[in-house]
Amino acid sequence: MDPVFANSIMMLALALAAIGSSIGLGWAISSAMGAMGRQPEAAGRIQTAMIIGCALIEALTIYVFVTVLIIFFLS
Amino acid sequence: MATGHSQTHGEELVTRVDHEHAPPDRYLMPEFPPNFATMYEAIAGQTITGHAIEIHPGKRPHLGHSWFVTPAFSILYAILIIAAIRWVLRRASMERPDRRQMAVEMLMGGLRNFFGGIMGREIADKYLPFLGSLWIFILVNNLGVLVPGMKSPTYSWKLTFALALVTFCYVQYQAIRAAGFWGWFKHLMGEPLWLAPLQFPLHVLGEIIKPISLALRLFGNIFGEDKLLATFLGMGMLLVGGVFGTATPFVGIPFALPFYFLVLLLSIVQATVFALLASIYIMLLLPHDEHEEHGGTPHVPTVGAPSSLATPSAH
Repeated sequence: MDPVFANSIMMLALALAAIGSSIGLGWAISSAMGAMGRQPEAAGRIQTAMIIGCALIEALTIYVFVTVLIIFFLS
Repeated sequence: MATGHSQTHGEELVTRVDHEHAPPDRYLMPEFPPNFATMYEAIAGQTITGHAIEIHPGKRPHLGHSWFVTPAFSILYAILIIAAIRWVLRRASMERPDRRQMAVEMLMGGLRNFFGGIMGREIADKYLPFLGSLWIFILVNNLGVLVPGMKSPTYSWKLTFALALVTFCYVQYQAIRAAGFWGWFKHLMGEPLWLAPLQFPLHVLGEIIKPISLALRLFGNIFGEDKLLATFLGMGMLLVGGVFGTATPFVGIPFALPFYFLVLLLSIVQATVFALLASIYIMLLLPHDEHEEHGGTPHVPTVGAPSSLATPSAH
């Protein structure tokens, strides 16, 4: 395969993963913000759960990034 | 310091510096933010050859081989921090605490409150030495890139996988110690015993995948941060090099400056996430009746809730 084409495909994969991850992050953070606004006394626990969830969501993008790196260095 | 290409023509080994055919290095992005070695090379190359950017002809400014960015050096960071904290706490006094002791106590109290909010006070105090030192170690190693002339040792997957391996061993050891070997094994077998052939491989696989995901998350984030800084540094170098003809790595630093704040934020978040997930992995493997009365996390299923209502809550 043309290496420029292959690189563009990998960039596209990373961009798609970033799009999906950002949608998920936006949803999670907006829900957490709403919950914190309704219950300010539970803000600490909501924030902790939100950080865990954000880490798990953005881990998908990181996995794509690592996979792209591995493919890039192996090819 | 001019390392050229080595080519074999028959028997003899001809080493020559390929100035003509190699692309000028100002058209190449640096792979990482500059460190002391490459800055020295840039300065020395400027004074020797007159071309600031041509560090190795035909090669990128490659920063991977300096001894002070290897993961072994980061252990020195940790030892220095622990020595500083112990030196402060050795002269601690209840009557007249000085400023350094207050700072250390604020750090320790903050960590204790943080993990206590997740795991419950008693459990958090038991596992705080590991989790707190993990947090400090990862934070300092993440912030290494903020010092101009260094880069984060956690950009290397070797260090993150070593940290994840340590976390894995610690979590399993604590689970076995808390529940006993057969309790731990029974926990891996799952709740309805007749589903054990299905659940046991899944649980073992889950225990193995957890540290791998920890390591990959930390590595990907810190590597991405370093790449981001290096890319904007290289864009500054390209711009200055295109206008003035030459550029050193120093001129790229103002271009990368806005992203130092992003790196500061993300480093703290990643260190927090690593320690937080480690604490949650500990909690998921503990025997269930030990922490149900705290209700720290929504992740843990509360088995036998009526009995926990009878006991007074700890906090």
